[in-house]
Amino acid sequence: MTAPLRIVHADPRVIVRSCLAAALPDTHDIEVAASTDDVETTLLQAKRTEPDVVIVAASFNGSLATICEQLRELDPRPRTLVLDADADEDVLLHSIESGADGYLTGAAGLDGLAAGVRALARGESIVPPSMLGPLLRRLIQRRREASEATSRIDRLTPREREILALLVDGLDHARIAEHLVISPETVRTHIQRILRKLEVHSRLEAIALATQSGAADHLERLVEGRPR
Amino acid sequence: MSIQVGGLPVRRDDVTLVEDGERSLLVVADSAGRHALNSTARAIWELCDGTTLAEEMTVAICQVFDVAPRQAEDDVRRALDQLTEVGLVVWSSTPRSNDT
Repeated sequence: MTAPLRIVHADPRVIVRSCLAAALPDTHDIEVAASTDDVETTLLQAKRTEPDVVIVAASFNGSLATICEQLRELDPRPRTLVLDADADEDVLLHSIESGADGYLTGAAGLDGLAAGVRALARGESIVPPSMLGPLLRRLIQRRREASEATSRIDRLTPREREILALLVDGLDHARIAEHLVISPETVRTHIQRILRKLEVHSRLEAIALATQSGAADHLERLVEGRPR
Repeated sequence: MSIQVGGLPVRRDDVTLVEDGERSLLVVADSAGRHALNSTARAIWELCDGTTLAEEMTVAICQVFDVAPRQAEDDVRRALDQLTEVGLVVWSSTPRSNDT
């Protein structure tokens, strides 16, 4: 007889944790190694119990990405399943981009959840079929936007990239001028050129373009080693 | 006929995606044609909008399923080959205006 799959269940709602802890033993092949209600305890229990799968509630909201990213760093790395109350394409995208291996909604029911845990433990990734196409479309769109942003950043001179990076860091004209030992007027001129080359109308738009996924790393690499 | 490098796969307008329990079926209008799809093939079908390259599908599938690029490429190629062979997808050399 094979050992049961071990899960850590992270959910801030005590009633959900209690229900799952009561119901999962009926599956016979899945056991709850720990139930947790916050980020720190989840990571601690995942390290301690070395589960096959960590089920993370989407209701962690802002902390969801942190949990998924940090679980991915563990060795051995547990598989991560995000469990959402209802289908939400934004949460799905956010989960996958944060490193989750699967996403299910309450519509899956207990049997669906158990099947999902088993699939993840086998190394598969799971996304509801009706959500996979839209997810892939959004990932493709993100990649196109990042590609467009990086090609615009490539139009900038090294000095302009440096100034853009300082804008991203939150520095104003005066501080950029001070930092680069140039006049504020020169900074202003550089920024006008940056906006034109990036095809944006404001510094905020330039910062948004430079900080989007993919482009931020590109800019970082281009100005790597600049004096900070 | 098979996948065309640099071409854009386009799903036929007279084919509808229907949920049948846990199965996804492509139903051809005015015919008895029914084609069952697995989850990945369904997603690829949905991406055949005349603007998306097979290469872009491959990269996105790698990201979601954490598989090697070669495996994702094989999966996409196989699905598109099958959809093309049964006439559910045609290939265009010019992008369509996005209808989504």
